[in-house]
Amino acid sequence: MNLCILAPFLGAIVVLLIDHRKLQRIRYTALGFSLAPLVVMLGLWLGWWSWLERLLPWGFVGELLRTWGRFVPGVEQFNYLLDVTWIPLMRVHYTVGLDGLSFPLFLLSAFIGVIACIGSFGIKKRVKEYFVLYLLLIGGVLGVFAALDYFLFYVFWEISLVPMYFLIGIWGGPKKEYAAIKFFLYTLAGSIFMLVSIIGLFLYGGLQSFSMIDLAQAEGLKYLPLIARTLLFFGFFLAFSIKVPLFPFHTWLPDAHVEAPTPISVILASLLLKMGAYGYLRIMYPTFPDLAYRLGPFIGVLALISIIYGGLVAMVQPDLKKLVAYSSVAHMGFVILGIVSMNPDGINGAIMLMIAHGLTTGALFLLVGVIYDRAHTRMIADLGGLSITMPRFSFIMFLCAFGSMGLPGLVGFWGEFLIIKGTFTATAAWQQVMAMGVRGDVLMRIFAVIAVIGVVITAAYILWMIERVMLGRENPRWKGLPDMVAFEYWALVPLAFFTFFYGIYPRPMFRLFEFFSQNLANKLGGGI
Amino acid sequence: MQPFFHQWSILIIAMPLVSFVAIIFFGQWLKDRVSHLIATWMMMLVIVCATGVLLEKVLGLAPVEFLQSWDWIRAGDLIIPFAVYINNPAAITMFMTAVTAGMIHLFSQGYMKGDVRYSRFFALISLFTFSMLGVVLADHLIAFYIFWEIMGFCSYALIGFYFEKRSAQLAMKKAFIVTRIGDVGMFIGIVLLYFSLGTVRISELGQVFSSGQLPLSQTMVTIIGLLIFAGAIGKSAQFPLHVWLPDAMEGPTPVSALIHAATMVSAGVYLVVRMYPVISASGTTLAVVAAVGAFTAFFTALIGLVMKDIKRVLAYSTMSQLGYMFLGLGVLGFTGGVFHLINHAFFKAGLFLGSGSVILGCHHEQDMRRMGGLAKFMPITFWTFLILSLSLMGIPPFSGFWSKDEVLGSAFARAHELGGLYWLLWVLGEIAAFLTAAYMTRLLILTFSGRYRGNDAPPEDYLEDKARLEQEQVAWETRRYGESLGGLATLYQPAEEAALADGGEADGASTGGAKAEEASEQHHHAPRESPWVVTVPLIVLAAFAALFGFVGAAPLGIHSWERFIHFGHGAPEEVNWLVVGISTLMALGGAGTGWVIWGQRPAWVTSWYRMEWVKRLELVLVHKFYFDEFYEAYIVRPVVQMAKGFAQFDFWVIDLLVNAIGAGTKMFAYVYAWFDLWVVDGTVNLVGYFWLGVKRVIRPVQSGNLSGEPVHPGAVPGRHRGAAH
Repeated sequence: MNLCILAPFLGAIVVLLIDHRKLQRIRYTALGFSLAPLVVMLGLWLGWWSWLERLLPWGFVGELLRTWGRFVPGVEQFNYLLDVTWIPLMRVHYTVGLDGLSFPLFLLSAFIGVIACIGSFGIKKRVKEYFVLYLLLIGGVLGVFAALDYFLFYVFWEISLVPMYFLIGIWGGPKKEYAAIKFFLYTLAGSIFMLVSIIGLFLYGGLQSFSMIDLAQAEGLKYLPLIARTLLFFGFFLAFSIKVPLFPFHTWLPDAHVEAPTPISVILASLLLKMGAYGYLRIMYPTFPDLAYRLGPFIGVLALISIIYGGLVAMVQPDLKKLVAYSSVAHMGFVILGIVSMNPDGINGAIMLMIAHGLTTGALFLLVGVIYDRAHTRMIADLGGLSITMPRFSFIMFLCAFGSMGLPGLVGFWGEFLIIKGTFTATAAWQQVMAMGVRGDVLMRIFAVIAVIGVVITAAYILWMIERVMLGRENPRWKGLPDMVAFEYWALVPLAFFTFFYGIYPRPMFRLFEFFSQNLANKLGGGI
Repeated sequence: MQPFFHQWSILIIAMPLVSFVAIIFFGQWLKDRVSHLIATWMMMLVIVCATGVLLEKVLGLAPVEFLQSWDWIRAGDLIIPFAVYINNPAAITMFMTAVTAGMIHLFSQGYMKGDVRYSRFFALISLFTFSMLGVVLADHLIAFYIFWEIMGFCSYALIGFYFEKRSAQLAMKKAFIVTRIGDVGMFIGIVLLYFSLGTVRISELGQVFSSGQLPLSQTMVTIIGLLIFAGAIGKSAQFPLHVWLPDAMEGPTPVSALIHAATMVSAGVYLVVRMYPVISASGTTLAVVAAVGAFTAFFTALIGLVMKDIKRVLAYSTMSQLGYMFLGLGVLGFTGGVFHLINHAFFKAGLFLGSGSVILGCHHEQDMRRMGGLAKFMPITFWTFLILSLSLMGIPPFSGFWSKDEVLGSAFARAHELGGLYWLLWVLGEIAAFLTAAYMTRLLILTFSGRYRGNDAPPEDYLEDKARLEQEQVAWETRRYGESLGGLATLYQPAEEAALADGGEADGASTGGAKAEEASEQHHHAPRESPWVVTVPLIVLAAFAALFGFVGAAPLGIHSWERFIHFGHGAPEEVNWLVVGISTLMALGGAGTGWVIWGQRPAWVTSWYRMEWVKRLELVLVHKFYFDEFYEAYIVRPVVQMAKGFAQFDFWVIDLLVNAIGAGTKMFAYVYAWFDLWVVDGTVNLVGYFWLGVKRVIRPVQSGNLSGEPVHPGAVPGRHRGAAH
């Protein structure tokens, strides 16, 4: 499992050593190194390595394979836990491990890492540097999802930030500098607050430790005054909410998306945004259950605003990429709403929607990139009639757009359904008067009903987009535009396939994290 | 004996899915002929199996409530099995779906011949059939909802089958969004049910609600019932979400027949049938169902009187008939409601196919102002259409009569029992029966009798309507593409002509070309009868329309339908001869009035047309009571305006704030930089300059060189200077 995190970093070094003129070699090396985590992870998921271990039980290989047992979701402790002292003076450890929450996201990262790598084959400018930074980025993201030490977490968090800055700033669109610096500073500002909170945890947790596992059980926090805990909470809240992004902190997202090159938009939407929600579930909620509960309505309102407001703003965007970016805001609002419900269903739904959003929005960004590479415009007003010009493209576009809309039978539905059900059912912990004399469970039910309106808005903007981009008579301006080429096609087919597959059979995914959700919900007092 | 077909019912659902997958993924390598053969033969198999299921039920070989379940989805506590639940209404609805879908598959071979997207059409109607069968059999409401939405998607894609047309694009979007508004209500209803009862399996809900120990307050039951009914309102195009169905006629005619007449729109009624224990648990819900049904039946029938497009008349008629079904269900006339659902599916599918045949015969002309006298040219179409129309009008002894009578009888009984406004429901139902007969007579007269008007100069208002559409298309394309692409006339011409040229029997799609041109020239003077693939479905459906009613002919003492469908709501009702008589009179009266007004056209009718209030009324009807305009002005536009406002807000307020913070920091940095340069660094430099000044003063003194001339020009100047600075 460690190998998964190391592979991209190793890959970055290897790519650095290749002659910058040998483009194919660079591309395939990068692909190989981003493929490695995926292969390892699939093996862990499906138990390949256990079979292999039975065939090759000897020597070093046997030893290695024995540590790669099949992933067990139903246990309290972490799978593949590795704990090595890193900086003894600061009591920093290199601790990594996967549980029901991080495993699917780690898997998603490995998967999207490969997809976006294939999607990067169209990059023409400074290929070597691009792939070096790309691999660093993937390594950072994978690290974030595996790290179990706050310090390590913070390091990986920042590692993922820097390559992103350069990737947007060098390979981006016309306003790339502005977008890159905005992205960088905005998220950096957030993560500085997180750092303060991490140090706070270290000092006041009573353990003098950065370990997430230990601090999750720390008694010391309970004796802190409320105001201090609230400040610590808000440190995390700001960092994660900016990353998610939640309503008032979302404006970096459209700019970054619009300016970033296609594969980087994919990574940004599919993975980086998930880091924020992951932080909610891994750190914020388990560490401060009482605050999570008290501030639940507040965060819930922000999530609702994200849903409705993000959807409406998406509706009138003239730029296709911006439309998808704002739809991300709306979808992530749903995710946060599910987390806020503190109900096993809601949390299941939130994780499922994260995966769904990773698949469908990633695919949509790739598709927008396909258009942009050909037409050199993303303005919805300029397009039209593409379903005749590019049939293969439009088939996948239809599938992914409807998947993103949450059409039942496609992947997006399960997340939305469970979130709304979870929010509606958020009973046990919420049966008290929360705000303005309204009982918590009633409040959550109102939230659920408002969130459902978001579903109609989603339908409206997706359909309107489809109408203006795909339907109508073939646009004479784009007549003869070639359909997708191989690398674009094969980057999209897996996404489309899983959009469909997990839509009709999401069980394998749920199996990974249902125990996690149950445990977390129990801990938060929202369990039934 | 094991109920064989029941056992394998899940495979029956899957069969159309197989053809969908085969056609959509391998369609590009298949010939059109192969794809329609796959789809149609698969449907024939489905018909056989569905008949098997029905027979097993009728013969009592299968349990009354057949339930079979497979593990499907688990997420924590949430367990959703994939379960098939077949009771008698499900069995008969499944049979109806299979038969109509099979006939429409056959029909489409003739109607869609030569279309550019021929195989995609078959893929989509197969997918649709799959989801409809799923809706009919699914036990778990979540599974039901999934199929329901897939159905909605198919409807969306098929309404927009000719997506080059502006009107089709608008119609498809409208259909999806309007039905989704209803679906959202239904979705909340399902979640509410889940939340409050812990189960949403239809089979279990029946037991829970009939057990009498409901852990729910009456208000809650009403709310749940109404929310679920909202889904039915959307899907079945009832007031106030009825606006999408007439526009949905933009789709190809077989689609209108299958989806927007026989199956999908009836799925709303079927939802109420399926959830009847929940709906009927609250009197308020039942009253709302009945009221919505009766009102829709009445006011859509009114609009049906003035429509010019043959398919739109039928669309309004569909809404009106669906209203009858809801009326029936709402007044506890479960038997009649379901009976009308089945009968209506047969005769309305038949009528749409008949209209399709007419449209094919008239060279894809849908406007009745350009038809007339077709009885001569298309005898099979005419006679089948006549039977189907009589069935719709409720003329005895055709099937529509028996079921409509049953519904109105129940309404009368309910009114008798509860009195008050319930009488109004019954009266509305009777008036709607009158109007139905009238507009169908009008349709028959305009289409089949008199003289063929297709070769005349088109009337003025017809040209105006066409020009409006044309202008809409051109304006839109010009706006989008910067140039006009030639308007509607250049759309689909080759395909249509090929369809005409080839008829149904000729093999291969010889698209366009001289042959098609020539053929269309020849046929342009006279409409002609359609090929067998078109007429055979008509004959089959007309046979159903004529004969199927007898299974439930209560006035003749045949109660087999009642026994079959009976759900346990009281004993079979007495036949109320008064209502039978009134309904028959209404139907005959309506037909007679229609014949006088549109067939005879005496002078006094013509003079009516010149009266101001009649004109105004007609205008209101032609504009469909201005619902579209109302929704456009008060819902669509405000939402878009709000969205625009939010987008501006996002840019000018929130983003500006962020940038302002950034700029503020930068400004602070500049100020600080200035401070750093001039104050901090300046102080340091000042010290330096001070000593520099001091140096200037002191050096001459110290070195003794007061004249300022260099003493040793070449000697260690660096050190000398360096020291000074």
